[in-house]
Amino acid sequence: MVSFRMNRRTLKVEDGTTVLEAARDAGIYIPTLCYHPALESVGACRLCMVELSHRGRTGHVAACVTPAVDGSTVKTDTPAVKRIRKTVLELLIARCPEVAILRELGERLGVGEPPYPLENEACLLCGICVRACREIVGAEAIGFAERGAASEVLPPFAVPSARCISCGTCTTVCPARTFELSKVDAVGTMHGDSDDVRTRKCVVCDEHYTSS
Amino acid sequence: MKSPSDRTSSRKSLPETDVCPELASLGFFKSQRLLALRHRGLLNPEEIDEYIALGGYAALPKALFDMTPEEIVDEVKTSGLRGRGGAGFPTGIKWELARNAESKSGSKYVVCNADEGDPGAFMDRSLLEADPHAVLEGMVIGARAMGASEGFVYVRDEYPHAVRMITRAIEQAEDYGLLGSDILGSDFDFRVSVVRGGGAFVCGEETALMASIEGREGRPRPRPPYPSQSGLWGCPTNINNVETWANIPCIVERGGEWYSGIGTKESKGTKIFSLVGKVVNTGLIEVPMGMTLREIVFDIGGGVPRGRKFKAVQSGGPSGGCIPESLIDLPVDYEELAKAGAIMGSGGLIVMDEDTCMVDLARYFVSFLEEESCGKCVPCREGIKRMREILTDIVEARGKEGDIERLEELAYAIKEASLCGLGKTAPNPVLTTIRYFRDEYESHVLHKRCPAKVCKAMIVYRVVPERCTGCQRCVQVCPVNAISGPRSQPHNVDLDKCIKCGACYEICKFDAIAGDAIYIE
Amino acid sequence: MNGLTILLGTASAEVKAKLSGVLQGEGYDVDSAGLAPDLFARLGERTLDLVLLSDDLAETNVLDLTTRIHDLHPKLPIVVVATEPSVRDAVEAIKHGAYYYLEASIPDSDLLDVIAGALELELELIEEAEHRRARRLVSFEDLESIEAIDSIMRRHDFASSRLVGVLQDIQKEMRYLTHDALRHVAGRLGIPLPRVYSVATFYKSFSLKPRGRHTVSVCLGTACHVSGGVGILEKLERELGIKAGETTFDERFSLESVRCVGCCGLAPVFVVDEDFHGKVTQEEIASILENYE
Ligand SMILES: Cc1cc2nc3c(=O)[nH]c(=O)nc-3n(C[C@H](O)[C@H](O)[C@H](O)COP(=O)(O)O)c2cc1C
Ligand code: SF4
Ligand code: SF4
Ligand code: SF4
Ligand code: SF4
Ligand code: FES
Ligand code: FES
Repeated sequence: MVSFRMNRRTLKVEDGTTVLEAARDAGIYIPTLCYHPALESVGACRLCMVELSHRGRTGHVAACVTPAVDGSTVKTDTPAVKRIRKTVLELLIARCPEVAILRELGERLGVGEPPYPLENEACLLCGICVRACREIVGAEAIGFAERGAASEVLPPFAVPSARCISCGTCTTVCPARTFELSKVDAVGTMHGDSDDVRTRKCVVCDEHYTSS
Repeated sequence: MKSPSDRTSSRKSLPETDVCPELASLGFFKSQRLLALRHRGLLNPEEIDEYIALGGYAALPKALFDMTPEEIVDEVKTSGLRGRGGAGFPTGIKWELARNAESKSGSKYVVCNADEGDPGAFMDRSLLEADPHAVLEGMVIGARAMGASEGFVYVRDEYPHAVRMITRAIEQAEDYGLLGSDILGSDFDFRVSVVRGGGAFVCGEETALMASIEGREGRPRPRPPYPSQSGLWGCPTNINNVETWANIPCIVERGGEWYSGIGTKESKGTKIFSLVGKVVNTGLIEVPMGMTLREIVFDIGGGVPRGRKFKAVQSGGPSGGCIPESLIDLPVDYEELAKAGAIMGSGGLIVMDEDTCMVDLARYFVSFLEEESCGKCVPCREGIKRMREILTDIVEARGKEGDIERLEELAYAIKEASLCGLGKTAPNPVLTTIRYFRDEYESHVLHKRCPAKVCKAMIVYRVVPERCTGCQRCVQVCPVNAISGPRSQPHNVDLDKCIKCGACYEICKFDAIAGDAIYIE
Repeated sequence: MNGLTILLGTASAEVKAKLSGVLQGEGYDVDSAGLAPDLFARLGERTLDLVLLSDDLAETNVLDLTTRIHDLHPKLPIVVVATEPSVRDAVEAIKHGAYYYLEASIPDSDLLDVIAGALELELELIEEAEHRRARRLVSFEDLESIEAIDSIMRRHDFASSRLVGVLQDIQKEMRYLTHDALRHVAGRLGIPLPRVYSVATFYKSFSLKPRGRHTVSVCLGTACHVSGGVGILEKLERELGIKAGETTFDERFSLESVRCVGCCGLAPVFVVDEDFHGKVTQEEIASILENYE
């Protein structure tokens, strides 16, 4: 068992519980984007930053990938934490101004128009779809291409991937939700640029999914 | 099997200050102290016998037969050696963590980090090319201390010669029974292989480096787990820089006590720097920790050439910061550099003179890091890009009030929230240049003037008629025919055509018959 | 007959009759086997274009079978037909290397669609290769290149962890990484193609586009930057008529900028192939380039 303080409360959790999980159990809000309870956490969006003090040292860590440490103190709402969150969210909104979830978070966290020229990307690069396709579906049909600001989520060579089983999982888990199942192509995740999408009925659930 | 141990034990190693006497009296060498570079120029790196003849591989039998693994770790702890790859983490403590770590599969690994991505630094390259066996010897000793049976040297692909040298050194050491199974009959097995990087600065970061060795793209992952707990293929792994490894044989041979006698209170031993940029003597230097920048730049480096004025030193490459003239008496050690907002980094020291524009320099580093960001986390990927946009606006005369503050705000979030060291240190060059040269920023933003006359959007090239000899050298070099004038008469620059490439300025300044007549306004 | 052969693996006479009929009606040549050993014997004997596996083979798990066939013939498309379909099996089959997983009750037209799709993929590869050969570009679909790639992978013991090294050697030998080369490597090393693609696009030393006979790399490291490296790059861009990252029309030069080549004492530096040119001035550049044909 690990016992530590969060804001003004003392929390007791199992060994290995992350700060984020502990906070959620205790009903303490920490914003997240790239976290998904069913997937391995990667700490990519950095929206879940909190202040962590332990043995006289204080710093900022990502709650979703940091295990709670016995005797430590976590603060989720300091001015510094808010300042970091604000910039991170502004950067994301400037990248994807049309994505609803970012605007909702903005409202909740009091972050408005970003002070940067707006781009118009559909994808946050949170990587949830990539992880879901690999970890849950097991198809590993899509992945990251390039690096840095040029990063993209794509099937290899940006053409329909023979590995995709058209399960639609990637579209369902995407927090940006800028695309619907029948328009998977629009985001360029699983089918690249082809616009000829056919659907096929799932053997088990009778839902229609796109086929490759 | 040839065994070098009996051959080496009878020979005393060269005292480390024994540079050739003539060389030692030269200014460039006088204040240096060679430990890691102790064999510089003294041996043929392709011949293991020469390394052995100079006392090499003498520490290894000592570590294998006279010391327990715990004693080796203790010796390194006593020496006070700190990592030479950047952060300066105490090497002995790191080794102890790896030594005590449980490995589920029983395997442990050691890695030599020779990625050396810091542009402007070439210490690691030189060490691998000139004294590869010292690095190998250090690795075998470390492997023994930590109980590792396999090692990797991760070399960046841009260093083909270094790859050849270290590969050859490994083959020779295997032939001599200094690597492989049952090393020197001690029952200890250790193998080393060379892995080439793929051209990514971020692969110098430990978790990215491991991903790269495992054959994946080099995207860092969060820590914990630390490499010493779960590294390569989930096994405890210890990563050290080339120079750190090269220091090990000395420490084992002469004792940690002796080593800790060199340097300052918190930073022990010597450090190799690559001294480059606007300085008379460029090259690698090795000096005791705590030497001041003034001694390094002026006594060893011989000051700034062509009578220009010294302006600042960039320490630690893109992750480091610049140190202005007012701090030139700063003793170089980990703490002092950090206090000044820079870092030791891997040891790049770039000297800048009055012709360097600090805003342009900051933009240069930021655009480097923008290209090298792996793109995984938001503050680094998006934040650095925004910093570069703002800095580009500033140097291209589109800066607006509030830009400097915006940079500071971005810097704060990037530093605090980024996932790995690349992002966490990325704002350093911007923050230090703002801290020490805010007036230069303001001049760009408010007055659209570049005091160093570097930023193209804010300068024009003109000819001083009185000095122009009419030699026409500038006419020949101008790529866009922007200069005209009859032979032997003063020339003129057509400002509408000029693309500000600086070719005319360069030729007019240095050509024998030209009159140094072109100036930048 | 369309000249394409499909191997049908099923133990049930009923399934065999039904599927053979459908396939033959479409012009495919159909061969069949009811037991795993027979199946493998057929695989060894003749050139096949596709394998259709039913999950009714006695004593053999269709997933294991898929894996084994895929390992032996990574390029041969395998389609699994399930009499008792489940999502879990579908996922597993794809993981094990199947191209598609179908329920046995699927309409014939859909079955034929899927098979055509699988074969088309193969055809696409062949066509791409033909096309390149016609244009006399270096073609890595040539058997020779496949062999060259195989021998590179052999040097790396076909270890999936050596992917970066394998790609580097291929790049060195062939100047760039073709899509086919990447597909081949993925198949042979047993790494999912998306992962190979990620690696190939992540590292800067790889190029997926053809490159020139000589690579001109201008150092824009810090020392070179403060010593006029940008001027050298711009001069080269004018001289060659291309931008950094591009290749000249005659494929003589590729131009790129790099960060520090480790001889900062000689700044500014540019490198042609493995020759270093230090302390260069803009003026000398044209004459240096003349040395490279
Ligand atoms: C972006 C980044 C790049 C790095 N590049 C290098 C490098 O090129 N060489 C190196 O030795 N360490 C580099 N490091 C530091 C290493 O991650 C690591 O701390 C070091 O190799 C540990 O060895 P040491 O303890 O001997 O210094 C880098 C760190 C970061 C965050
Ligand atoms: S639809 Fe395709 S890409 Fe998306 S999760 Fe399923 S298999 Fe992966
Ligand atoms: S497509 Fe959606 S889930 Fe995938 S990385 Fe982009 S935002 Fe995340
Ligand atoms: S800080 Fe930069 S380099 Fe490091 S993980 Fe984040 S995006 Fe990648
Ligand atoms: S700076 Fe360049 S373009 Fe301008 S006049 Fe001089 S040589 Fe010509
Ligand atoms: S939710 Fe923690 S980093 Fe994205
Ligand atoms: S900066 Fe150009 S060689 Fe190092």
